[in-house]
Order: sequence, then structure tokens, then C-alpha cells
Amino acid sequence: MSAPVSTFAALLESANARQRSVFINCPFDRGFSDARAAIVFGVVCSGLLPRTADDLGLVGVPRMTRILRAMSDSLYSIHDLSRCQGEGAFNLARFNMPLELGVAIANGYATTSSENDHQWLALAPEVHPYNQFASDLAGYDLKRHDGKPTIVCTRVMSWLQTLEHAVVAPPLPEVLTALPKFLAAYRQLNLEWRDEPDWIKVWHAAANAVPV
Amino acid sequence: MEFARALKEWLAAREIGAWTPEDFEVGENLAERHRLELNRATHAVIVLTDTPPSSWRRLEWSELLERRSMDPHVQLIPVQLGHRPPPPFLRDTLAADASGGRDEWERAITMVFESLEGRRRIQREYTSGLSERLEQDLQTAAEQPREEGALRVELAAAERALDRGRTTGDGQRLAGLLGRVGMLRLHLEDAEDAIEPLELARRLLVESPAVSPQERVSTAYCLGDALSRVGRVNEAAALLLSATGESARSDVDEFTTAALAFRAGQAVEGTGDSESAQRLFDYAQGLAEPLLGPDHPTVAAYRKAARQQT
Repeated sequence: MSAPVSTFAALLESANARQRSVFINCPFDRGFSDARAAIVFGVVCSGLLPRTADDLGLVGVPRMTRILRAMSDSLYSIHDLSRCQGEGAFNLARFNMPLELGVAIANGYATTSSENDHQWLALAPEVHPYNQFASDLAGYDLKRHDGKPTIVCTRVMSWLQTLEHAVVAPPLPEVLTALPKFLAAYRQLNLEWRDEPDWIKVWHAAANAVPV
Repeated sequence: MEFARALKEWLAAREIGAWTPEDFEVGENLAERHRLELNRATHAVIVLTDTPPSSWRRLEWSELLERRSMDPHVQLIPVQLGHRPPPPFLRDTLAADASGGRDEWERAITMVFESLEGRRRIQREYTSGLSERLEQDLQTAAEQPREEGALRVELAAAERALDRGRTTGDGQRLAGLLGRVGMLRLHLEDAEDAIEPLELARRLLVESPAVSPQERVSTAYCLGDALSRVGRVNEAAALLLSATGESARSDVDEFTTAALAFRAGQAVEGTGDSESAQRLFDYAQGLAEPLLGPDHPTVAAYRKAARQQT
């Protein structure tokens, strides 16, 4: 049986879809929900397409394959390392995000043309010892945030606005004023879909909240 | 870099201090010094060439952008040495153009100097292109839920996962699997068959103290929706009222509480108790309006529902 796709696929078939796609690799727990929404909103306000491993609804495909596919279909990616610290009864950290950041870094070196080099942004909480648990990242200047949606959105947009395939975003104060409208819509979708909202609906809600 | 050196010398001759990344001293922490200089500068000259900017350069630019968002007096002055299109944040700013080669450097440096002196500050007409792009995208991707076929495949996968997970001793995990099956059935317009797994999930979640209130209320929201759709409005109203109360008492965000109250109001309205329904709609509006403003469509829907009761 061929894999079914969501209507988001129609957008991804458009010209320059890879150049406009930003793979978002961040925690999907409730505590990070608003920050995740802020990242999505920043991406949409820059005229780019937010991508995740699940945006095409390919449920029959192994998760790592979905991640690799979405990431290789994206010229850009944003990674957040907020959950890479001990938690739960065994004080374990989640390492999916550094793993995927590693894939992104490798992608940046895999292409022969610098025009097609994968570009990535890594975010980390303000107080976060990433240079201790992943000391190879110490040479990179990760962007710090406090988890507040406005700060996360500011960090993300200031980077997105340096990308060639982005468009000129509305002024940041206008974006931050519009952000609560999208957060409200995002929470409503989370409520209706038990935290797994349909990606086309998320994208639509963001596009409709953009202050243009 | 040669242009930057020439510009720096030219400015130094006119007693204007400038700093370039070449000015690091041995033993200095590069990132710290860089941040210090970025924070100290009132103007930043950004030299654009035909070479794609490195990751490091992009981060440097984004630091500058954040600085400017906090202090609008910080001025960014682009100098175009190549033909590569400028990054979006500079597209509405006129660049000092030296793309024709060295012969144009002096003119560009003069333009930069005049800009620093405040004698020249030319903003291009603001052309975002965003609204056109979004309009095109919105036309390409029609708003409709995931195709029914895709949802059915997801449901089949969720049901298989539930079969495997039924024997697990982890009530919270089982509740998650049941809730997912129920939610997918609900979105496939099969409210009747959605009720049983959602009810089981709800019961398990109530018994699990470690579960977040958000998870309980979102399950209650879906279950209330399913009960309403099959005409069991009294049960739906009681459940959604209780979920609204739990949401209001816990750390669930106010918008979610407002959405629950609105849904509860609709269910209560279905029982014929328009007075209570109005109170719930008013409550939802009272919570949502400060967050979203009076003109937001959600707030307007809450207001309209409240008015219809009077």
C-alpha cells in the first residue's frame, strides 16, 4: 500500500520547497508546547515552511526514516536542546535532539555546493551545560533562551532573517504582538487533537495569525 | 576584509573608532570579545560579498538584529561588494554599492561615513513579499484535515499499539493509547465508537496522580465532544463542567480553560439551561479577551454565543 500523505504535501511539491523548508527538532512535551509554537510562528512569519518528522503523516515509516527524509528535504533546521538533562526515576536525559542535530551538522558538509549546504540553528536554555555533555559543540555559539515564547521567537526570527530564502518579516514587535493569537489557536488544536494536531492545521493557524 | 581594513583606516583618520574581527588579541575569548563589541557599537557596517555567509557570520548578524530590536538607534549600514542578494533583514535598507569593483570603494566609504554622521539614511520602500507568498501558499494547501485514508491508517496503527499495550501495567501509558484511538475515531466522525476508549482513558487518568491536568482536560474535551455528538448532552455537560473547574484550579493555561468553558457552555445550552450556558460563555470571553483582544474571531464567537442566550 502506498503511503498516504496529508495536504501539506501539496505545499512541499511547490518549486524551491527545499530552500523554503525549516526542519524543527525540538521537545514535543507539554512543557515546551508554547516555545515550540513560537518557533513555528517565527518560521511562518519569515515566509518559510515549518517541517517535522510527522508533517506528512507517514505512519507506516520508521521514525528515524521520517526524520532523515524531512531533514534532507529541508535546507534549514532548528534544534532545541532543552530536554537534554536528567529526568524521571532513572535521571535519564533524552538524546534524540543531539542525535538529530548531529545529522544536521553532517548534512551541512555533505553537499558539494555551498549554496545547498544545510544551515542549522541550535537553541539551549540559559543555564545549560551542553558544552559538558556534548563538548564538541563548545566551538559553536548556541542561542540561549529562557523558554518564554517571546524570547524563543526573537532568537529564532533573528536567525531566520539572515537566510537567503526567507522573505522580509513584519517588524519583530508586530510579530510578538500577534504571537498570542497563534498560541491560542495552537492550544485549541492541541486540545482537540490531544497534543498531536494535524500539521496542515497548525501551519494554517500560523499563516492566518501572521501580521501582514 | 580588505575593504573593511580600508574603511577602518579612513574612519580612524577622521577620529571615528571602529572594530573589526581582525582586532582580536592573543589570549582573548573570541565569543566574549565579539559580544562585547557588538553590544558596544552604535553602528554596524555589514559588508556583503558574493561568498555565501558562514554559519558564524549568520549568528553574528542575528546578534546584531536582536540588539537592534532592543535599541532601535542601532544602525545597520550594508555595503554591497558583490551581486548576491542581501539577507532579508537588509532588503529594506539601501546599501552603499561598490559591486562594480575597487573603483567604487571610495564612493561607498564616503556613503558609509555620511551615514555614520547621520547625513545619509535612506530607507528603501518597504517591500516584504510575505503577504504574496502566504497568499500563494494558502491557495496551494487547502485547509482540510488530514486525508481520511491517512487518518484511517493512523487509527489502525494506534489500535495495533493499543492491542500490544493492553497488558502493560502502566496505566498512564494505556490511557495515552486509548485516548489516541478515541481521538482518531472522533476525527473520523465515528463519535459512537470513540466514547468507550475515551471513557476508559479518562478513568485511568483520574486514577493516576502523576498525570498532568492538561492531559486529563484534553481527554475530557474529546470525550465531551463525542458525547455531545451522539446526543448524550447531560453527560457531556457534567463532564465538561467538571473539566473546566479542574482546568481553572490547576496550572492549565487560561486559553485552554476558556476553550473548555465554551465547549461546556455549548453542552449546557443543549440541555436547555441557557442561564448557565450564558455564564459559561461570559466566563470564556472574560478569560480569552485579555489574551487575544476584543477583535479576535475566537473572542467574537464567545461573545456571540453569550449574546444569543439573552
